[in-house]
Amino acid sequence: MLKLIRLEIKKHKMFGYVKAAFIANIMMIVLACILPIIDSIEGDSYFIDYKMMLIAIDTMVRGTFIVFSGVLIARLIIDEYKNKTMHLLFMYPIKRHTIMLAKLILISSFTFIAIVISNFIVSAAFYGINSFAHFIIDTITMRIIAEQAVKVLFTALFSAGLGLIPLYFGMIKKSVSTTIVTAVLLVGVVGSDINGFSLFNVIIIPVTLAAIGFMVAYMSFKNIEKVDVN
Amino acid sequence: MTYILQTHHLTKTFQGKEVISNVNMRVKKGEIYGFLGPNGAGKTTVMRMLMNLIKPTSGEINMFGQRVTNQSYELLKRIGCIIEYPVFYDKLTAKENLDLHCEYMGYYDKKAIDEALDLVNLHNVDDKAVKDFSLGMKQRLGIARAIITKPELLILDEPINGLDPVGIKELRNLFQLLSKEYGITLLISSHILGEIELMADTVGVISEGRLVEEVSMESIRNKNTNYIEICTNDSKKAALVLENSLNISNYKIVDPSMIRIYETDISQHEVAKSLILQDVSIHSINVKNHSLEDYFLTLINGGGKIA
Repeated sequence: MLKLIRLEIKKHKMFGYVKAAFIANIMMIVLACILPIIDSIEGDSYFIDYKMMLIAIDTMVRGTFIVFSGVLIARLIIDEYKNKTMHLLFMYPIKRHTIMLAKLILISSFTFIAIVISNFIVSAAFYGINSFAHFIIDTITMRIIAEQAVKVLFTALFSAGLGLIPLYFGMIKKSVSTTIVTAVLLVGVVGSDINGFSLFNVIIIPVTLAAIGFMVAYMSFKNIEKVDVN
Repeated sequence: MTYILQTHHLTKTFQGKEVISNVNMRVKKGEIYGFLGPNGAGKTTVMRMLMNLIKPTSGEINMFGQRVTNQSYELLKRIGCIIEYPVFYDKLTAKENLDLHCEYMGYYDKKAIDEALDLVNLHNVDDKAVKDFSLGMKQRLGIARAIITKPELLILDEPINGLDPVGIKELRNLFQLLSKEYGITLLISSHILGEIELMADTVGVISEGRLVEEVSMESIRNKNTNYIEICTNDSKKAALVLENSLNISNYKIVDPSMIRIYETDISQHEVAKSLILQDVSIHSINVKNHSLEDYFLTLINGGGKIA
């Protein structure tokens, strides 16, 4: 399995995606710094403490990498079907299940790790910049950090699951655009934050969606050993 | 006789339509089996079933003495193939593609990559992504990939597509080399009669999803008859001359101006001499070979279908 994952990383040049993730991080850092400025210009008092900022950063990071997950599904699975390289893979002496599982593990792990690391990078960078730019006046406590760390771990796990939902829609017509549009819509639904209220905060919703995601992933290749590859 | 590949009543139905019907083919170990048929006859579908890409509706496939099932993955290690047209990760180079192939096949002799590229005569392609290759180059690379792991059975679907005449000759020699020197069994499909005729030991002819004939080239060659074809202004009179002066009864009047003699031990010269002496004028006289093409076209019925 590890070997298959390594081969996927190699042939899809996954380091390119790591680079893209870092670029996305830089943009999120800029956005995080702009948020409190816009807030003060508009006279709102929404982003005034670390607690709110960390929620905003987590939402941004999650949204970004759920879309990323959609892109990876499109590249690693849908495109391989479209370019018929999946035929090639299915003619190797390896179970189709194992091949698909390797791809899905790679996609979910990437999403999970990217969300955790990016949360850390963007939050730390914001803290660093804020310490001399003073966008917000607040002190960070160990308690906030600890709470946020646990929260990030959970949201990353849920996002890794629900990031797989686009696979179902993409596979129907083997369409790259459907996959990515589904990912964007998902972010729109669960990532939107209206005055601190987000569907993602109603714990049952992300848990259900994550479960659906993993289930959809399983369903997408449940019968794969028996079906014709056209 | 050891058969490396056998199918029994192989049938495939797509959306209620039977596209492959009751195919029983037998490929002997070590031979080159030419799989011949017009476009759309079902060659690729049969080959995809052999490679486990699509599953038979009924019937069974035996390879290397084992029955092929959904789980027959180990068998695939012993086969090299190109189905339809060769597909690659086209942003990667030729060597990167071959390297990936070896990894997936569990084959770790990296020297084999250069050897395979040498065998198919593909040079100076080190830094070039496969997407910039011509169709012929892709075809060569596809064959390199199929042979790199020294499989026991090679399944090649229209391998000479997109190649120039020199390339076709090179590959024909390569296939013969693989068969003779390495003892690899080759199953090669084509719609080009001439090519199959030059390479194959056995020919399987498929038409509209049915295997209409499976026969050794040797026996087809023996079946083919030569005849003398004479164009004359009066074939009836010519027939009389043949019967009376030359004692030939094995002839056929094709039309009032054409006659064919199937007698083998008579020379053109003798025939011409007798006819002229009897005042039968001759427009032309030729020895003709009832070609393989005629033989196959009859089998596939309706010659126009051959592409």
